[in-house]
Order: sequence, then C-alpha cells, then structure tokens
Amino acid sequence: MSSRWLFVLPLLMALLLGGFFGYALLAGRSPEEIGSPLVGKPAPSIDLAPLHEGGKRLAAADWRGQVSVVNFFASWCAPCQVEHPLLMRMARDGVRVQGVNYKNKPEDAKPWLARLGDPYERIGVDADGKAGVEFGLSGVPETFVIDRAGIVRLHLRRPLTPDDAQRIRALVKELAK
Amino acid sequence: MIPEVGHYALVLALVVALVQGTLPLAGAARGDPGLMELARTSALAQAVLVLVSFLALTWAYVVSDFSLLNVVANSHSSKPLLYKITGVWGNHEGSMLLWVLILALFGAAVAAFGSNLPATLRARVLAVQGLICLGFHAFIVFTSNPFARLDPAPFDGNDLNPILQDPGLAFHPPLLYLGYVGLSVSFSFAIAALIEGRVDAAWARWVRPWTLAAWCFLTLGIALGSWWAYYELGWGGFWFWDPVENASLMPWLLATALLHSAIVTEKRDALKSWTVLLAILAFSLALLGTFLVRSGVLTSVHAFAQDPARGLYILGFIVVVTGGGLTLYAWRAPRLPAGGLFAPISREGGLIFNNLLLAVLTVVVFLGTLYPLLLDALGGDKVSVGPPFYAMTFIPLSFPLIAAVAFGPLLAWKRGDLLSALRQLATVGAVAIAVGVLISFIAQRHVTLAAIGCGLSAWLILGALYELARRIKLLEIPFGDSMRRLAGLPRSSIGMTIAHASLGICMAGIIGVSVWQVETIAVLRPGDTLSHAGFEVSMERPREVDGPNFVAERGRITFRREGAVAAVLEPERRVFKTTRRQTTEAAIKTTLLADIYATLGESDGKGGWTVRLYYNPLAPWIWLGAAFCALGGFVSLTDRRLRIGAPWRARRAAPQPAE
Repeated sequence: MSSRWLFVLPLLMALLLGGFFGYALLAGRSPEEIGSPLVGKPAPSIDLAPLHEGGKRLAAADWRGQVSVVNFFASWCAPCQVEHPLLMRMARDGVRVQGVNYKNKPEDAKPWLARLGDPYERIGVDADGKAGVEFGLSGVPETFVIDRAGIVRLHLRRPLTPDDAQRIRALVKELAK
Repeated sequence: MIPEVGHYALVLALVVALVQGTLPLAGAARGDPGLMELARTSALAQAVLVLVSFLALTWAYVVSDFSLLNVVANSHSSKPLLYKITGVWGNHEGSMLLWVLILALFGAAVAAFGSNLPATLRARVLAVQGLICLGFHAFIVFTSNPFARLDPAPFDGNDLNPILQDPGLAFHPPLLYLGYVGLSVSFSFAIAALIEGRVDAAWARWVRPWTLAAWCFLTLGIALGSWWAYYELGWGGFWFWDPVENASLMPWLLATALLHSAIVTEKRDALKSWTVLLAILAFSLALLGTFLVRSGVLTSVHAFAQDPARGLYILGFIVVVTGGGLTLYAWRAPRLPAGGLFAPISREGGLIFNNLLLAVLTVVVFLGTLYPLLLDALGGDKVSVGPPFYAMTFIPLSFPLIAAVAFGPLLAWKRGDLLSALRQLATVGAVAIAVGVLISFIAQRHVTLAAIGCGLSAWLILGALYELARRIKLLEIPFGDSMRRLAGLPRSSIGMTIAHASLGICMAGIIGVSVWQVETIAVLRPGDTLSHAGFEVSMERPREVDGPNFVAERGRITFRREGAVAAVLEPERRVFKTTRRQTTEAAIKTTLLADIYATLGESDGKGGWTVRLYYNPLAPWIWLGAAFCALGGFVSLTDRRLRIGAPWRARRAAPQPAE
C-alpha cells in the first residue's frame, strides 16, 4: 500500500531534521572549538607600542609566569562596545585583561576608552593589524586566555556573553592554581 | 519568602501536570468518568499554580529583590516600573515561565469553556495539554530556574538590555507566545482526535476558534515585532528575513492554512488527515521557533539567551512532541474515512489551492532559514541567505495565492463555476489592471513588482468588498433591506471580508515602502540644509537630555516643503547609564499615507552629525493592515457558531426579565 507510506513520510522527514539539529548542536559548532589552530600552542610573540603615553609595551615576554586574558578591540566595532561592561567587571574583580587595539587610530581609541572606562592593564597598538594576523584573527572582538607557560588555552571568536565571562573567570582561576 | 512560594508552586505545577497528562488518558480509555473529570480540575489547578509562580517572579522584579539571580541579571532599581515588569519576560527563564503560564491558561480555558465537548475528547485534549506543560515545567525546574537565589545579594542589578526597554518589544513576546501556545490547543485536539480515531465536522468546529484565536495573536505579535524593528533599529526597514522573524512567520503561514482547511473539514467533511497534519506541524513549528531563538543554533540579533544544553533539551522535547504526534498520525490517520467528493473548481478546490501555496511558502521560508545551517553542518561554507532569495521565491509564489483570495468566496461548494466568478469579478479585475498599468508609469524602480503588487492590492480590497456587496444584494434591493441583510450576516463572513481586504492594505504598504522608499544618509551640520524626497531638511544643534536611566542626545530636524514646515522630528541617541549601551530612537511623523522618518547618528567631531532620513510612502498601511487582519479574526471569533457550535440559541419559553 503506497498511500500508507505517505502518512509515514512526515515522521521520517521530522526525524531526519531532528537528527540533523542534534548533530548541529553537538558537533560543537560553537566558534571557540573550531577554526582556532592556536589553542594548545604557544602564543605568538608580539611586541606592541603602548596606546597611552608612558604606558608599558605589550610583549609576549609578559605572558610568562602569569595567566593573561588578551582582548582584541577597536573603537569602530559595535560588538566591542556591547562586551565592554563585562571586561570592566572582570578587571574590577582582579582578572588581568590586556588589550590589543586593532587597526584603530589612537585618537579614536582614547576617547572611546575615556567614555566607556578602561579595563585593560596595558594596551598594545596594532595599527596595521600584524598582531591580528599572528593571532589568526577573523574580526574584532576576539578574546584569548593564555596560561603561565604562554600557551593559548581558549580562543573566543565572538563578543563575550555573560556566560563566556563566567567561563573565563573560572578558567583563569583554575590556571592560576 | 515570596520567591520560595513561587518556586514551590512551580514544582507543584509539575506534579499536577504529571497527573493531568496521564490519568485522564487512562480514564478516557476505560470510560471512567471520575478520572476524566480529573482532567478539568487538574487543568484549572495547573493554571492557578503557574499564575502564582509567575506573579511571585513579577513581585520580585517590582520590588527589585536582588537576592534573585534572575532579577540581578535583568533588572535595575532605577528602571521605570513598566520595564521592571516587562523585564520578567525579557530573559530566558522568565520568558519560559510566561510561555508555560499562557499554556496553562489555555488549558484552563479549554477546561472552562469546553463543556460542550464529548467527555472522552475533552479528557484527552486536556491530557495532551498536560503533557506539553510537563515538558516545559521540567525544562524550567531542572535547567532554567528563575527563582535561583544569589548570596550575598548585590546592591543593584545589571539592567535589562536597553533594546528591550521599549513598549513595542515589551509586548511583542507575550502576543507571540499567545499565538504559539494557542496552537498547542489545536495540536492537542489533533492528537486527541487521532487517539479517538474520529475526525468529523463537529471536531473541526471545536478546533477552529482556538486556531483562530492563536492566529489573531500571532498576527498581532508578528506585526508588533515588525513595527518595533522599523522604529527601533533605525534602518527604515520593516522585515529583514531574519531567522527569528522567519521562525514566527512559519507557524503563522501554517496556522493560516489550518484555518482554511478546518473550514473544509467542518463544512464538507473532507481534508481530514491533512487538517490533522497541519495542526501537528503548526505547533511543531511554533516549538521550533522557540528552539531556534533559545539555542543559538542560528545566530541572530534576537538570540539573547543561548545555551547548548538548553537547546538540546528543547530539541529533545520537539522530537518527542513532533515525532510522537507524527507517529500517531502515521499509525491512525490512514484509517480516517475519506470525506465528501468535489470538483477541482469549487470552494473546496480553492481552499486546497490556498493550503498548497501556503505550505509551499512555509517550505521556502524553512529552507531559507535552515539552508545556511545545513550547508555548514555538511562542511560547506558559511553562507547567509538574504532578502534576494526571498524576493525571488516567496514574493512570486505569494502572488497566485493572493490572486485566488478574491475568487474563493465566490465559488460554490462541491462544484463551482469559474466562468461566472470571472464574470462577476470582471469590473474588479478591470480596475485592478488599470491600477497596475497606472502604477507601471509612476514607479521608477521594480516596475513589474510595483505594478503587479498594487494591482493585486486593489484586486484584494475591491474583491473582498464586492463579495460582501453581493451577499447583501447592495444596489439590487432597497438600501435599507441591504443594511438589514448586513446586520444579519454571520460574523464569521464579515470577519473574513475584513481580513481579506486588510491583507490588501498590508500588501499595498509593503509594496509602497519597497518601491518608493527614499533614503538619505548624510552628515548634517546645524544650519545646513539638504534636500530629501522633496523636503528641505535642516537641523539644530543636538541637546543633551536626561532620561530615567539613560542620557540622550536629541536632535531637532525640520522638514520644510516650499518654505512651510511639514514636520519637526526629534530623534535621539540614548546611552544607558548602567550598561553604557546605546540605542537609536527614530523619530517618525506619519500622515497615514507616508512616514517621514529620521534617526540621529554619531557626531563627526567637527560639528556635524550623521543622520539617516527616510521617506516611506504607505508604510503605516503595513501595520494597519495587519492589525485589521487580526481584527477580522476577532470579529469572526464572536460568531456564535464558533463559540458554542450552534448557530442559533433555542428560543426560551420563559420571558426574559426586563433589564
């Protein structure tokens, strides 16, 4: 009876879709697990001029012996502004956040930080985006967590969500042990 | 203390749902009236308990109880009271609680108003409702508890996303949920009918008002969302084919199909298994909409609550609901007896044509929404399917559907006469074609689209009015008699006329904005003038103004036409104090024939400000049309036949007391 099969067809299609959705959810489509060859590898060595007059340079050598959170940002990027309060809160709670000011004019970045607050311990200027290339950046904002041995432990290719912030705190705490 | 009461009520509701979802089913199978009656009492208890829980959470928001994690994350003591309350559903946990509250209220409504349903059917419908409640309760209690405490409590909260602090968006979710969840009743009826093994005219008559109510709310919810996107996002657009918009459009398309196919089932006892299938799929798509928004499978501007674990639970739930429903369907539907026969050209044929196209449109939207995801999962590129895809598929496919709307009501049941319908609509058709030709001379862009679209709008509006005029024999009999006939018409047919004509109004608005929108983006200095859509536009220096929880820069933009002031608009750019987020507040002046629309952007630091100016002809018609469309549905709902399944009240022997 072929018409019987017609009645089973919707079910089969629904199950196919369900399986597919489950795969999509479980296959770790979350951006931090895919497309970051850096995780588990030593952080790229960079040496960037400070944004603020009299500030310290941001260099790879600083990543030895302490856990660092490195955040790429720019004043022209709207999502950076969205995630900004989370970075502020992290900094207030004593997480060391270092900024890389990506393809941004210092005269634009400074007022932006003055207006929104400056969560960064030190800020390196990456005017031509070279550091971004080293770090395999696909856009801004992106955030890295680097452990005491200078190994990249986490790479988030998206604006931070409150959950990400929690995750970073937990990871920093764990790596600092 | 109050949050604990809310939490307790929620857990209790879960237990009640367990009872409601199981015992009445056994009762209906055994014919035990006591167990069947349990369905009613537990459905009412369910509603009371969830209401207590929801009110407890609302209370926590109103008094800013920062010992609740949910309140801390989404509220702030300086927020206006309205947004403290709407903040309850401006987040994942609260919106799920609202969802289940509406679900429980619908269940209670079926229990309260379903006294004319057969006892077994009622018990089964309520049991299925109970099972759906159970799934959601478990989800909330185990993965998204809104009553989680935070110790020590902070002094103030993080504030709600400012974009959500807006009347349009505040009421968009409740309306949408009323629509989504209303479809759960149609689903429960479909499942109950499959268990009973009986789908008949009476069943269709009971299902229709619930589907219609859901459809009305869904229409309003989608319209409100689109209106919000229009004035808040500041891009002058009203529909972006965003995955989340599509997620609400798909259930709407299927609910529209279900409304029409249920008519065939009611009047002609045909299309039974198709109607049942539509009811199952419409609710499944409503659940899928929830899943897409809540799981982050598709990233979209709306995805403010993303958590894979939750997404997985909802997905599992959808698989159980849809899979269970469709398994039952595959097993029982083939046994449903076939209904009445009819010729292809007939009222039934017209309604099938409508259903076919609506189903195809749903598939188009479905593919457009999920194709990027599919491709990504199969290891392809990341793509996004944009408006061009829909412009090539959805819009042309909707034209024949809209063209058929005017014909349908003129065709007779069983065997219609297309020629006579064509003859009757000849005048309307001629006017519509004339409108189309006229438009093709005026339009400068998208000439074909504009001509066909405007012609079809005229065709729809005039066709609906013509059908009404024919019913009341306007101009054929004395005017007074016509009016008496109008008063005597069933409200469902008046509702239909309103809804069909409104669709034409809405369509005219969509075509108007798509074809004649004028957009000007410029840096404007105080004192400069620029010309935009025939206006001379000038701006005064923006001022700083203080809001309750934001600081705003407010521009004052004057539009003059030949020296006379046509509009003064005051768009704002708001910066919220706690989150430092910015929102744009577009200023709109509407003449009901067109919108003059302006938003204020950033200052360039050299004394100029970026402004976006739009001139949107017929834009208000989009939402007026949609609102009237829903109104048509509500008018139809007041039809006695739909409310109690009887066309006329039996004459009372006893005289009525004078009032």
